[in-house]
Amino acid sequence: MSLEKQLERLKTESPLNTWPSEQDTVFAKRLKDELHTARSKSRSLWWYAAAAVLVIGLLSSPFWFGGSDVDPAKQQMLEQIAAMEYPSEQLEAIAAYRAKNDNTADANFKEVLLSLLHEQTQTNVKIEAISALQGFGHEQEVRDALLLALQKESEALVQIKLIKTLAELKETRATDPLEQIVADRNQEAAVRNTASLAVAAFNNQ
Amino acid sequence: MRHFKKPPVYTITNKQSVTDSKPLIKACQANSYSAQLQVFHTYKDLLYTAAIRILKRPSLAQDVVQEAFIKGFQRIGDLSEDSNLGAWLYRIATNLAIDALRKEQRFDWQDEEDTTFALSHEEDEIDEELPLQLMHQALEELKEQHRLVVVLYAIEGYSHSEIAEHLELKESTVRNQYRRAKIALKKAIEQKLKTCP
Repeated sequence: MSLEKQLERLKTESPLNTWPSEQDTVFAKRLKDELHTARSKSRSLWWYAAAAVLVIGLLSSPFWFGGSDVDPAKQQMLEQIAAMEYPSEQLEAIAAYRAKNDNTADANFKEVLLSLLHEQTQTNVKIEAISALQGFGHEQEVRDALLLALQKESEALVQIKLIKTLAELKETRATDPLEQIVADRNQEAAVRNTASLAVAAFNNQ
Repeated sequence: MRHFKKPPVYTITNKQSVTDSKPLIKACQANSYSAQLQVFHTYKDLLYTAAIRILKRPSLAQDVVQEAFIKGFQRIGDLSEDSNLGAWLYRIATNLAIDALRKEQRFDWQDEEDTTFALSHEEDEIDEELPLQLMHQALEELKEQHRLVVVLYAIEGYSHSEIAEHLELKESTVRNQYRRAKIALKKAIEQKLKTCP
């Protein structure tokens, strides 16, 4: 038997590797997000437009760089963000950028984040947007948007992020919707628990 | 002739192929979520095995498999109902795995002058059916790029020109690497056979 025939047997006769079962949910979620959301087709166009606005805003706003001149290293980083293939990569990179620079008061940026909160269906993107919006937490418009999102959101991970953010912002108007979540048996246990902790925190204020 | 205890034979065709995948293909073309999940559960292990064989890293292989299913479902409209769905998805996954490796630029593909001799037909023959475990071990001992060309050419059935195209190499480089890899593999196998009880 030739060596090549022997090698072929590795494909036909070897036992298969078992796909990790915890990845089933991850895939099912991704499949739903990418191929079964009502906005999945228009979202990509919208999303790229939003990402473009975001990146243009970053590139054009001297506020981001704490002065009038753009640091070449930062410029390069922003160009890299603009060239990224996936929106979630862009947001993660922007979040990392924000963390380094602590510049959160750019109005264009806030507008894009608010749009993401209401329109974007991808969980990780929403979570990043909420995280970034927390920096604008002193603004009434942002607090209202977060409250509205809490009432509309159905994705557990996003709900949890919203609850924690509102609790950290000490937004006591969230108490009623949070109590509704606690009482709603259709909600995920983790969401109800987080809501319950937030209500307790508000009551202790 | 040496006799080894054979492992239980696993036939991919028996377990993995759907005898009549027409309705599934049709349902997936209509973007049915449950049909897509059914396809995923049917072929996930098969694709994962191929991806691991090429990439070796489970986390990267998982990403590649997910991407393969998503891409497959996005393009399934191009697939005729009589096609072999599993084989089609399998090829998408292996192509993506090779692309992932190319992007990582993990290997140094120096196209040095080839001083190796090809194995003669007789030398290429091994007169016994080798245990799979021994083959696996011998394969793992090869240099990484040698292992890759062997996996792609001899196991996954890519031609030299296809491998060259995917990895953006010259076809002659792939041929040379494969020749060297085969000689190294033969040596490793012989070494193992000598030490095998």
